[in-house]
Amino acid sequence: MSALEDFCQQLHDHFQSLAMLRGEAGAQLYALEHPFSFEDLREVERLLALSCKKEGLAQAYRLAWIVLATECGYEYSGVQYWPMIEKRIAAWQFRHRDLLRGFFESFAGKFRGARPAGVWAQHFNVIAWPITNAILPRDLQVSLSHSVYLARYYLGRTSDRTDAEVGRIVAEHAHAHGDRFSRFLNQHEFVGSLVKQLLHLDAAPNLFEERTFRRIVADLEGHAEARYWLKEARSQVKPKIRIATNSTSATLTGGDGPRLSAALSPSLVMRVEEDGRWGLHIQPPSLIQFLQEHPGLASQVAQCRYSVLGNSTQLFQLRDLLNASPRERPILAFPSVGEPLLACHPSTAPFAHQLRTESVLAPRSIWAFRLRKDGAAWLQSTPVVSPGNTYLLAQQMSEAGHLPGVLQESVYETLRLVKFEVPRTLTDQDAERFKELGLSVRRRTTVSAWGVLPRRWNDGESAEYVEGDPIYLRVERDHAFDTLRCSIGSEKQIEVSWPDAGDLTLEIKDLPSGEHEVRIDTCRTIKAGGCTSWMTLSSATIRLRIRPPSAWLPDKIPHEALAIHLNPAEPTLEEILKGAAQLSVRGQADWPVHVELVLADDQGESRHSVLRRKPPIDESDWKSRLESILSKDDDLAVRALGADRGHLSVSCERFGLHRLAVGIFPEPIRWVPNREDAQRVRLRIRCDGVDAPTVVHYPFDDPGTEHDVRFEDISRGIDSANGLYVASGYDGTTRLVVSSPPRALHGLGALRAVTTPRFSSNMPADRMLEAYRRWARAPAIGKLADVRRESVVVALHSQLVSLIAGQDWARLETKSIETSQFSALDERVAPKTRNYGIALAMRSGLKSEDELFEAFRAASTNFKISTNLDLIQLAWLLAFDPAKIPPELDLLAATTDSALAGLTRGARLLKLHYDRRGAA
Amino acid sequence: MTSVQAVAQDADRVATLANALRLRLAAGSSLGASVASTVVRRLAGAMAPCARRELLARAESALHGCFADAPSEWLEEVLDDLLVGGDLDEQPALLEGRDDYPVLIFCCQPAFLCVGSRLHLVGVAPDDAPFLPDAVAEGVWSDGGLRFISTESEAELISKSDLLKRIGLRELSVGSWAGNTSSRTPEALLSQVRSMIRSNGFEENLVGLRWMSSSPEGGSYRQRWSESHNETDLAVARAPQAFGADAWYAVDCSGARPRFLKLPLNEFQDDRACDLAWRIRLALDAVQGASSRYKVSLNGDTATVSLNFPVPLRERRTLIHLGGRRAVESSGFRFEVPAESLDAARAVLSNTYFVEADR
Repeated sequence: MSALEDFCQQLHDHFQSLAMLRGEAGAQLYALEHPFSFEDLREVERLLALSCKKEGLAQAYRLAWIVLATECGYEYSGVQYWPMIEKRIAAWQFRHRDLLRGFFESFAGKFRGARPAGVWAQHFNVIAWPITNAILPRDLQVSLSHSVYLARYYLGRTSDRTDAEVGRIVAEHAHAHGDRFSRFLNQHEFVGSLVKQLLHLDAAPNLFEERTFRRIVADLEGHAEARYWLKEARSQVKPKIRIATNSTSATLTGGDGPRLSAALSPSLVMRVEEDGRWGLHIQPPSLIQFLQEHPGLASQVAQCRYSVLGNSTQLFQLRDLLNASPRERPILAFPSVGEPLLACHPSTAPFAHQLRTESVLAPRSIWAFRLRKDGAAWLQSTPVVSPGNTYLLAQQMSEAGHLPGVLQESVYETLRLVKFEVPRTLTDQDAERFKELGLSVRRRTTVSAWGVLPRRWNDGESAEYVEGDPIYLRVERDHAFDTLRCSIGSEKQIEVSWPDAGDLTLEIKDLPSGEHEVRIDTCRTIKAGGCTSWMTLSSATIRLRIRPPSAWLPDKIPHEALAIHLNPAEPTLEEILKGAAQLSVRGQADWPVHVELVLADDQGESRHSVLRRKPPIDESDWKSRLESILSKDDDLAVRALGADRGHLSVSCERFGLHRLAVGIFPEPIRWVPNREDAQRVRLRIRCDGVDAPTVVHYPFDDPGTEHDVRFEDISRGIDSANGLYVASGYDGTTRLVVSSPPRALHGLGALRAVTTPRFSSNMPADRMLEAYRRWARAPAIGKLADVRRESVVVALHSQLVSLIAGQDWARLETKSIETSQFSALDERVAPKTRNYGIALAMRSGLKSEDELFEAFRAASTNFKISTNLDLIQLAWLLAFDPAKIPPELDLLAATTDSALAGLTRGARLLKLHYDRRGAA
Repeated sequence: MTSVQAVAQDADRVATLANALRLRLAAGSSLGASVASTVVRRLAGAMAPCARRELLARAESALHGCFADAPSEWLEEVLDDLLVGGDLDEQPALLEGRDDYPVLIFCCQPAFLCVGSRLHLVGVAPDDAPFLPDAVAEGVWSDGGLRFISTESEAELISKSDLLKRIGLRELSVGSWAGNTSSRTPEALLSQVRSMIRSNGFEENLVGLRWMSSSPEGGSYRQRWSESHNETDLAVARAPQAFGADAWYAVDCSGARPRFLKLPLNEFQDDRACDLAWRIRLALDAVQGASSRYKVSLNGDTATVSLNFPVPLRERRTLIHLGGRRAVESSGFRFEVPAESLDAARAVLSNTYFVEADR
């Protein structure tokens, strides 16, 4: 058995067993779930390349071909699927595409393999197979993570939702990323399950092989944006605030299990139940971190269960806690001191002791639950209350004493519960009452800048002002005092009596440049025995730095940034090359900015430097430099034609490199020229479909004659391409003029030798017009190709005029152009109506084409050459721009009207005058 | 001599601040708007380039206790006035050490414009460096977001203009700088938008859509917004997007499913999406025979133009340099222009499809 056969056998066994497993669940499998490592894949690829060279796509190795094609599908980024295969398999032929599709169809039939569907799959009916089997190609990975990010606020309590619900939420919030992605999102159950796994909400993947899932996740997290989006989504989905109850873990003794650093403290929250009474809920701790520290205990966690206080008969799976946000459970009896809230079953599990001891409620006479905006009240870890907040205070009925606030109803008969709003500024009496209840009050004095803010403000510790700026400091307090003292350095500056609530603003004037320390104390006055003394309650110190103002330098923008303006924001390559996109860069003039146009195709990346200079760069700089580059850089035109992606690169030593998107929309059939050297262009065609387009060639020296080109040849590339190439297929036609001059000739000699086209003597006018249209509309790559195309177009036009207006006229026209004397033409326009030509010549000084046409129409009608406006219009277009003649017009029929020749000569006369004036 | 004193609890904080900032208020100008504009402008000098939200948050903190209500929305308008007036600029930027491409507030270079007998000052120097000598700065008047030096004769205007040039300030002209208003008919504008939606629009289930519909006579701008709509032709809507403020869309509702086109559009001169959206809405109102109306009331040499719909930025820029805009406590938008500039202001509004009430 050869090595390749051995690989195929492995694949067969693997897919067969997978198909059996999936078959039970009615699920499909994907070729990406193959068992090969990256080394195996490289070896398979090498062996397939050899096999292909020898025997094409052998049926015996179809599974290996499927895996290889799927791997390419996994790397697919929207374009260039086939070049990727051709790069790996040198002997790959166009006809192999059909065979590959057959392999996939048989794979789907035999192993329940995935089948493509949808509009996109109908259009791209070959590559749809490997891409569908690639599960989530790299480009869709980014789109999916973006969609999850967009849906992040709606994915709360995801663990409680079905896969299909999660998938639907993500699909509903996704932005359009094409039909392929829409079709992918429509598989709600699949997408939902995948999203749950990506958000770490479900530990065991069940859609496809875990190994394959890990690979996708690793690739996805390798993409910076995707990683960021997923991270954000995960942090949104899991709870942000967790306040643990008072932990006794510091004094943990006993227990047989390992010492665990991960906290296993639950959170307690009171919520209003359906009957309007308050009930206590426990949010069990997550075991994710715990298992990261002790992965060996994962199997034990899977076998254990836990129960909640007051409901010991109902056991929950402990693996439910392998979740960032375990499900909240109600506590049916309010816990008494020392009673564990959670219990593990069996109690001999290594972590059971810690779970039990860390879920014991702290011994207190009053528990304070802080009420949040969502209406839930969370247990405080310490018995401290902050002014301005609202709390639920809970106390066992058995405890003596009175709680301040409004009595609340709870579901627990033994509990006394009140709602209490702590005043923003507490009096001493209030603080004393709290102390008696076992609650302490946080005391704070806050100093902040007001009015004219400082240039820098460092968390209330230091501030920087400019000389002459008025300094205002706002002092807020949450506790009672009667005096505020402010001192600058060692000097006491002010003492303000401040018994009222509210804040106070201090104004400091005329502080000189330098460093100053401002100290603010809040004090209470104590009068005893005729003496008055002060007790300091709280203090705040701020260091102030006063500096002179900056100097203003006209015409300098010292922003620590580059301001880049691109209009339109995301231009297409076509807009850039036509000069329709404008770029400007403003910023510090100390660092030069380098702007490059970067284009890429399957051959690699090419960089085209547009400008390098210090900012500011305005639109006119950009425009002039771009025009200059476009006229000089022939390679740019060549690369632009075959590019399938690109960007503008703006780099600066200080600010790094930044990319601005450039839109490139490759056609299904497109030319990919490659300049091999100064004399030679290698021309290839790229085709994304399965049907080969028709390609024909028109040489420069015989521009009216069509020569067939074998698609196989041009898809691999032909050297020394010369002339016009036209490819047709997929409801479209693409043209290109290429020039590769002979090596032996250089400069003008080369031009003269190759720009004398010949025409068949019996070529009718309609074919001549068709040839003219074909050449006139074709884009050319490079200056030489453009010059040669233009010479062909001029020759075709002369030939067309000669056919319509007569050979004598054509010869006379040529002679007149050489001598710049057009008077001889006047009387030859219409020999029987001599004044017609003379009248036209008299009108030839009119400046615009429209005016000239109007004069031509009037003269032709007045001199009764023809009153048929369509014929006059046709003659005009024949003279000025035959490409504009409507394709449906029958030129041969029109030539039967004898007036056409005279009209054409008249229009040509005006055209010659018009051109001469333009040249002058 | 350094001194510290407590600001009296009952002191007028806006007046205290105006005094500390040495503001000279032009006749009839709003004290609050002038103080807020100065505070925002100074902060931008120290903070720019910075995000709009960051700047406004600091301005709100600086003005704590100055105004009865939370001034966040009003400060947005103050900042808009500074952007419109040419003191600040808002555009995408690259920052050191950041890979994204945020839209930030920048300071425009200090410059001036000759408007009638006044020299309008625009721009902020980096670090809010003083760009005028004290003797010149003392003659600057504040009027909301506008700062100007007033002159009494042609000779004084020329001499002060020369002085500003010698100091290093560039001279801008109102015509080129304020932009030209469009004279396209509303039908032509809507036809172009329709055709662009047909060729470039997309059909999608956008979540969180809010629609801007026509409003009954005298209705406010806010009353136009709702989550449902009964449009059967073109409409304007907003929907949340991944980053930043809600996106603006032109919507064609004539088909079975609404067809959206994200604004702004390169084919129009409006750089900001909201400006084009407003322009479309104004055009829709005009062709439906329910043009947005404005009222003019003359008070001596001043004409007050009251609107209940936002004016696009290019037109606002022209109006602001015709006389300036004041923030008012009501939900409307009000401009005050010198009576001699009223016809010019009428022409600007007429080109934007507004119709004068009772005229």
